[in-house]
Amino acid sequence: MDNKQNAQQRADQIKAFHEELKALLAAHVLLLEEDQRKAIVSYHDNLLKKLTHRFDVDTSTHQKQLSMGMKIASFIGALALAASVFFLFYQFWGYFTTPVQVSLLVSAPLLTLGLTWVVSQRETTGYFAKLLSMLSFACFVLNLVMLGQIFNITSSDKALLAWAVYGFLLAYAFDVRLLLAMAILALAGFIAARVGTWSGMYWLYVGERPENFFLPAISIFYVPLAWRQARYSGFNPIYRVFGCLLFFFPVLILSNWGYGSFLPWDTDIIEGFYQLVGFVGSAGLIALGIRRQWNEVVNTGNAFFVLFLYTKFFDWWWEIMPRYLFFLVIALTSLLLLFIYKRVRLHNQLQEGGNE
Amino acid sequence: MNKLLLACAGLLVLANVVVLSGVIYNRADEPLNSLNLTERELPVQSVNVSNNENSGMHLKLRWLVLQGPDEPRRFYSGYGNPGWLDERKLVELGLDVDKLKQTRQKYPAFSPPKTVEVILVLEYQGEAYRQDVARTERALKKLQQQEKSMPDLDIGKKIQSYTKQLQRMKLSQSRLYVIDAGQHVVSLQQKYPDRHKYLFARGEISAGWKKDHLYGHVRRLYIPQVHVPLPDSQQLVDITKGKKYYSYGAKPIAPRYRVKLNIGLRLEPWIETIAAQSN
Repeated sequence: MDNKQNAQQRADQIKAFHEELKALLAAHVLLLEEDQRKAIVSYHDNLLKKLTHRFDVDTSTHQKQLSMGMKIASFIGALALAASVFFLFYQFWGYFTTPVQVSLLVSAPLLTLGLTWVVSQRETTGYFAKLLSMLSFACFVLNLVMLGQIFNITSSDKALLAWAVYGFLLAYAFDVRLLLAMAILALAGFIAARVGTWSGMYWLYVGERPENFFLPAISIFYVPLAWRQARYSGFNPIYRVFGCLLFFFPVLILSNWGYGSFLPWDTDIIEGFYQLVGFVGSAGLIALGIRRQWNEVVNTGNAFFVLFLYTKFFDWWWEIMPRYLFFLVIALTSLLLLFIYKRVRLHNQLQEGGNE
Repeated sequence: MNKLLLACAGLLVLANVVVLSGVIYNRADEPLNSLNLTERELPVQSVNVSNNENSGMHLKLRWLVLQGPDEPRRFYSGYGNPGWLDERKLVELGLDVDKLKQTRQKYPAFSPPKTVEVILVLEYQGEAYRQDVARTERALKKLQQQEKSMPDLDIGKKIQSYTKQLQRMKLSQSRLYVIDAGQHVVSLQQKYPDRHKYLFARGEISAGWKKDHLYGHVRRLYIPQVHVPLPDSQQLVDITKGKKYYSYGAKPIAPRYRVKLNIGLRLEPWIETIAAQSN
């Protein structure tokens, strides 16, 4: 058992087993001697204790609900705390001399990093350590942004690289998915900006050439295939989902705005090409997700397929159709998609039944 | 985890060392330019977070361009097309004009970058400013003569607008004009040796089309505002009594302060002194 997600899966499995066992015993389908039953219960109790001690897993529905609440509170708390640090500094920085400003900015991420480490040593759940690591990340962003303002430094894409590296280090040190997502975005921004500057573009206009995001998107999607992230809960899906988002958002933009492309074709051809890439790519993504059992990839592929489809409907029919008819077509298409998904699901169920 | 934490701490230290070393290097030697500007060129910038939530202070660097003689008059802005930024100059600055022309006809979407990073030369209270004032005076005089010779012509409002503009140009509008651009500081220093009159700043120039004619304009300065540290910011509040003035305002006022602005080796500015301006 190497990460919390797997430990929680095992705990859920044990809970389901006991519920089913209870039903089987009640229906007299299975008969167990008292000492056999006790041996199973004792084994599972010990295992659950170990899992709880090591990974702080939830052993009941009530605990799970509370954990979910804690996760949401921790997420909102981290974002709010980060925003609060920004506004706190903005509110008072004008009253400090330059040496005080610099000392505060340089020491804040270091102090919060130390605090994160202290808290992580004392607390098993990790919620507070994660929250503090987010705060440290926000302090580092503030650090570089404000030093830039105080000393009138020309803005540079290298700051994105520094934030990305710090985000990755913190995410892996304290197992924080939100920080991993931020690090991925910062890294993608840096790579896209760098590629853009090689073609003569100023880095801040990175959004004007969406194709620059393809390279980071593919690299990020590939990370979990190259390096197993078994010790970290939920990191693989984050890489895959962000890889998909960073690929399909630019495709969506280019399928409607061919002027942003590097391709030496007419804009109509570029847009048509990217529409095709969007449809084929998202359908391929769904197929890949089903094959590799990557639910998050299936869902992302689904979302983009529908988005491409509805965007196309809008292009074709919004101007020429009466509104009621347009929405009726959308509704009928949704029903058709529902029907298709139902058939695919049924097919999968039959296949799984056959395999067993 | 300990290794990762050490790496985190190392990264934080390294990033700050790199940034602060750059600042020290920028201010290490004699400044490239050192100009005595006024509130006209450096008005207090409006706060960029919602009111009263940003205690920091910045001065906005206001600059203009002298438009070509055939250009329609644009007041207050740097968005016009400077006369000196012609096709030859765009080529000299590194824009692939031939390719721009080719691809424009074939594939409007596929074109090489239409912008180029340059070092801009801003002239303070020089020939460009004087020419701009003289041009506006001539235009006003012409309008007044037209009104006299053709009283039926309804140009009263236009005359009023030009009169106001002339007053602003003489009293409150910036006298910093972007007059040239280049790629190398050394060659620009040789061309513009007076470091109290010219200011170098990193910025961007872009090319655009007016029908089939290629034109250039100064897109932006990379450092558009300058931070005012303590105690200068407090002094500025005392001088201005906390009232911000915008040259776009209805009634122009004379500048209330002067600022000694330096440009360092990395072309990054800083304020050396701020003092009240005696008018």
